Amino acid sequence: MRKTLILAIAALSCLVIANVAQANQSLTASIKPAKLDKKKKKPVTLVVDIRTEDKSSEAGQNQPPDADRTVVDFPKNLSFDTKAVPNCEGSEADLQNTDTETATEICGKKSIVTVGGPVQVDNSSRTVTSPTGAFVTVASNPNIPGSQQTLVPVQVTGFNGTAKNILYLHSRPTSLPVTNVLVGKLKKGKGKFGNSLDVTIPQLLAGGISDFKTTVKAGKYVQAVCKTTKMPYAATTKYSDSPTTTAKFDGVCKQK
Amino acid sequence: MTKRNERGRPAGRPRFFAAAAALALLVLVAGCGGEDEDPTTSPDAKAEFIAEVDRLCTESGEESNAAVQERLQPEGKKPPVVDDNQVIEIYEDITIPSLEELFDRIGRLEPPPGDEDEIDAILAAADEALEQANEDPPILAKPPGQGNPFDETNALEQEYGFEVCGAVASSEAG
Repeated sequence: MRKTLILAIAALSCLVIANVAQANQSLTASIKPAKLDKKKKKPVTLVVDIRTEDKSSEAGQNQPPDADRTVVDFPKNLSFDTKAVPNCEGSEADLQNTDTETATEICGKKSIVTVGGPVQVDNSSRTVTSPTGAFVTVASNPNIPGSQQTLVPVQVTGFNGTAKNILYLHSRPTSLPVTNVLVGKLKKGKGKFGNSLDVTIPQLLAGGISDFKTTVKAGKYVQAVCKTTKMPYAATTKYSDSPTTTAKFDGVCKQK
Repeated sequence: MTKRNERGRPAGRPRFFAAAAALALLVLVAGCGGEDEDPTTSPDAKAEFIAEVDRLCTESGEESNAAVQERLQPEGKKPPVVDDNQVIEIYEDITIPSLEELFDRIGRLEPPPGDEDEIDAILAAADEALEQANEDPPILAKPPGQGNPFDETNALEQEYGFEVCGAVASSEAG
């Protein structure tokens, strides 16, 4: 009797686990130039690309899970100086419902920390090919579940936030009237990481984010040394409809 | 004119006939000694109505998906890649007409006795949502709960007990 009960509980657990859609996230990161001095900091271009796979291939589930928060960990070789560029002259609230042009006017062009330009994508690999941008799923019907999903490119612009160590990631598709401002907070990293960017994610458009790529332009905002050649990165994401994921990437630098 | 009449409630069953029938029924009941009638909806009638409306939503969703797939011809099971304008065209050519037809069909059904007001409220919310969508189709891309015109319709449908209609997860509508 006891054995049967244990088996039944085990079977039920399997069913429950099988019904929770497991997300799969990958992370790539790079810096340019990769050849750096051991001690003397140098401005670098930093590229971080986070891709999230669909929950499932089933209709209605064939989109990435709904991310609420992502913490991106950066190697100790990288340092951020948020005082090196002017702060956005408006608040996060001021940027809501704005297009990219208006947001730039509000914040001031000099507060942009990412490489700009329109978002470009590769349709076959479903990835962002421009320096900065995102790919988001949109459902075709707002009233009935399981509707056909489509993937839409979204332009992303990073502004040095109004408050200290805050980054605004202004996200806006070309024509759809949906603006979202992701707010990231730079914190001291733990363990092998130097800094962490803790990003709160509102819902972009109406679906999950399949690719989110940011290129931080070379300047004093982000600088690097090559004290050790190993450059570990990580991205930990929490979702409302899927278990937490941690993606890791082992970057390298060359010492001068 | 009520919303349901606007949606094409059969002309042979106008409201005043229903009112007259209800009045006659009241007189009959009163004549039978004035026993109290339970004004609540029969659970069976409500369950049948929910099943029928959910069937219509499922059917509408399948037809709408087929139309989108035919237009975009996605390869495999991955969502097709589109630009903003294609999304807006889908809303204009497929989503909005499909939802108009769906709520028109729902409006033609006889609601369970006692639930007329709740169903009218759903249809009125849908009317308003469709009006907004027709005026500004891209607004349908707004996330649920964040200004999507169907937020109220979905909430009322879920509150009533539909399992398909309005059961759009927060990460799904659009």
